Amino acid sequence: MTAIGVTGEYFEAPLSECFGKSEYFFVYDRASGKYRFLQNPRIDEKEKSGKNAASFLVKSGVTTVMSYNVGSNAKKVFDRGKVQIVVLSDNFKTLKDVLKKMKLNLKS
Amino acid sequence: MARPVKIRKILFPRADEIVNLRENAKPGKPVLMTEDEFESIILVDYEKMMHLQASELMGVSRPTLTRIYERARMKLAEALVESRQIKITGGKVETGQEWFECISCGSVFNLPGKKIPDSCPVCSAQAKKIKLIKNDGNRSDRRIF
Repeated sequence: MTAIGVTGEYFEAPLSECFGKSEYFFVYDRASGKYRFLQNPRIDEKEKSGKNAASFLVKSGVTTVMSYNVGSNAKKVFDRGKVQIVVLSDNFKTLKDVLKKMKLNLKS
Repeated sequence: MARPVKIRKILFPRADEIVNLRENAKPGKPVLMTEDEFESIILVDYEKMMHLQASELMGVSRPTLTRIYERARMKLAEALVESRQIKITGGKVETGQEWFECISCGSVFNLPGKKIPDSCPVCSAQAKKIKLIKNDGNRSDRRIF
C-alpha cells in the first residue's frame, strides 16, 4: 500500500510540506485498486506528530510513503518497519499530479 | 597535517536543490550551502531539537554542530538580505543507506530490504532510468567550508 501526505480530502489537494504534519493521508492499495483518505489522528499535538502518524501508518500496513520531506523521528519508525520512503520533487504540486505520473485513473 | 573533517550523517540526499527565499531573488550568483548546513537548520529550527541531540544524530560533537549551524544561519541571512538564491550542494556527508534518483520524474527513494531497484515507485520508469546517488562521504569536488 502507498500513502501520500496531503492537505485536503480531495484529488486537487496540494501535497503537504512535511509528512508528519499532513492533515490527511491518501492510501492506495495497488493489489485491490481501492483507495481512501485517512485523517491524521494526532495532528493537533505539538510534539511527536510525525512519530505517531508514522506508527499509525505502519500498523495499517503501508509499504511505501511519499512526501516532500520526512522528519527524523518518522524516518526512524519507517526504517524499523521496512517502509520505502519516496522524496517527491517540487515538480509535483497536487495529489492529482502524482496520481497522473503513477498512471492511476481514480474517480472521486 | 590538520585533522580531517568528520563525515556528517544526514537523513536524505538533497544535492543541487535551489531555494528561493524571496520572490525577486536574483538567479545570478547563488549562496552555496552545504548539505550538512541545511540539515542542521532542519534539525535545530524545524524539528526544534537541542544542539546536543542534533549533533548525536549527525555524528559530530556538540560544538561542531553549533559551528555548522552558525555558518548556515549566516548564509541564510546573506541570501535574505542580498536577495540571492540558495543552492544546496556539496559537503562531507553520508546518508547511511542507499538512495536512488529517478531521472524521468526526479523522485528520490530508498529500498529497504532490496539492493537493486526494478522500477521507479512513482512513474514506473525502468531500471536504466534510475541512478544511485553517490554516498562516498564526499559529494562535492570543491570544498565549501
